[in-house]
Amino acid sequence: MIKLDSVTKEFYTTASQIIAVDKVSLNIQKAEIYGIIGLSGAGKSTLIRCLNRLEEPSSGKIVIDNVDITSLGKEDLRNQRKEIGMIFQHFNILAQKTVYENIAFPLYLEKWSKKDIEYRIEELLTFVELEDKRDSYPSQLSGGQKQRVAIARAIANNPKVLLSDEGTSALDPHTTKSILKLLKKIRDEFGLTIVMITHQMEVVKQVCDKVAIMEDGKVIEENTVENLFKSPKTKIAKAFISSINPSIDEEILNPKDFKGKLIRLAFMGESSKKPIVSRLIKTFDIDVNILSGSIDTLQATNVGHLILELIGGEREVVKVLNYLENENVNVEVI
Amino acid sequence: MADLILTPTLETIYMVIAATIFSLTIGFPLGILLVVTEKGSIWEKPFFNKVLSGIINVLRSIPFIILMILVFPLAKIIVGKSIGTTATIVPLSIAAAPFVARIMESSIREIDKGVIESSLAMGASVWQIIRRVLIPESLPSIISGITLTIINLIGYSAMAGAIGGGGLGNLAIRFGLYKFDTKVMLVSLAIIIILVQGVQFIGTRLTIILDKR
Repeated sequence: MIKLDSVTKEFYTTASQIIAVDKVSLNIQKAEIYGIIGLSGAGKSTLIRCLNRLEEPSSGKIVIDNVDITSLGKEDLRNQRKEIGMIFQHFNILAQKTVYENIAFPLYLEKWSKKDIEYRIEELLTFVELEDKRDSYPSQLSGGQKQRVAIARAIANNPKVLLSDEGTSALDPHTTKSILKLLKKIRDEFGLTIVMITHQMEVVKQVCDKVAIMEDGKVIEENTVENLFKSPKTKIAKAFISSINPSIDEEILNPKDFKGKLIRLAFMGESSKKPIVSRLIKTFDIDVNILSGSIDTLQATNVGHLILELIGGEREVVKVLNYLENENVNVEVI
Repeated sequence: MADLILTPTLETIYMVIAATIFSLTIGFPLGILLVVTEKGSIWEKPFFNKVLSGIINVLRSIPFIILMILVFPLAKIIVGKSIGTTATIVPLSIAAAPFVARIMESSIREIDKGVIESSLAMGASVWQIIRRVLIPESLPSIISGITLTIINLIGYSAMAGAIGGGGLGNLAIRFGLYKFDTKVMLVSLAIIIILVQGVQFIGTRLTIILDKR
């Protein structure tokens, strides 16, 4: 659905050249919720803004629904932008207009008839649960309600793609959850492809199917969310995961402080439901000390993490490791 | 006395209303152009922007009295004579137009850049953004700018009265300065004050009513 091929964006200042996005290639499937996570300054916001050319990419190719966005002229780009909804961190809705007029904005642009607009907006207000705010002004709304207005506006003319540039970053955790639920409902009911930029792993964990991690303008890791949680490869990925699960941060565990062997287990799906630790103890001549553990509920499955200290003979430990491998558990010796 | 005062009052109101309409007609689009043609804005024309900005600055630098004398010939071409109430509308409009342009510019600049960006993302054209975003979003601020313009014009029109324009300024000069009739001068001053207060009151109320922020 969305294909990025070596997309690069350079900024020139008088003194230097900054490469904000560095040869990023991604492939995003239809109806996928695709997260792009990174620290501030990683280039993720520039990247998502390249998708509708709010930012002109310096080089590379972007194809959305078989349309080469990068080669479009001004007028064609304007028309194509109508197929790509976008929401922002600070909502960016009109302060002097009512909820109704705000949502109607893209429909006015396309010169819908008054009756059609009326009908569509009633439908959207119900969908985003703001029926009673039809004639309110943004100053009378909470942050979450403003974002709901922005979302209704973004999907009003039935686009194929929805971009979210830190759409939940200005919201409290509870509101974030409800907005994410709404985004998921949009995907499930209308089959929109959603690309979201965030710096919160919590967001990725709650709604994303796939995720790309950005650092210094490059995508350094791309995976399904389950696999990322199960076995993050890069340091920054691990840091993001431990940001929502401080307990699995192995940096605080120093193997030298323990007599036994420290192992980190990651399991998902079926293996997360088995009583693995209890079987270990019963099957092998070994003592097990649980140092930390967590289970994350992801979109598709559950991912569990355990850090164990195995106390026992060298050979028994090897047997345990083999056993775990066979049980489809990801093992890492610390 | 009533007749003596009434005609100049109506003249002043006539001059101010006409000059407001003309200066808005010229200054309003110029103010919008100043914003949208700026570098990084929705209709980038940096060279045009610099030239326009320069012209506006030059016009704003000319003291009103001198501007009036300078445009005497122009007034003659447009209205057929260079002095009198109607003729004064020409310099008044020319003096106020660049002021209006700057006021519009700063009103529109108050709009959050993100709102413009989201409109671009929705595929709005430059014209659609001007009509549906820039003007409505800055309307309260524009109204308070217009109030300021009208009050300035009342002041200028009184000044114009001193060198051949009509209105209350002319009355005050004729009676106060040349005939030492302090009473007439004070009455015309009082009317000017009432006009300014009235305009300010209406302008402020309108701004408050219109502003939904």
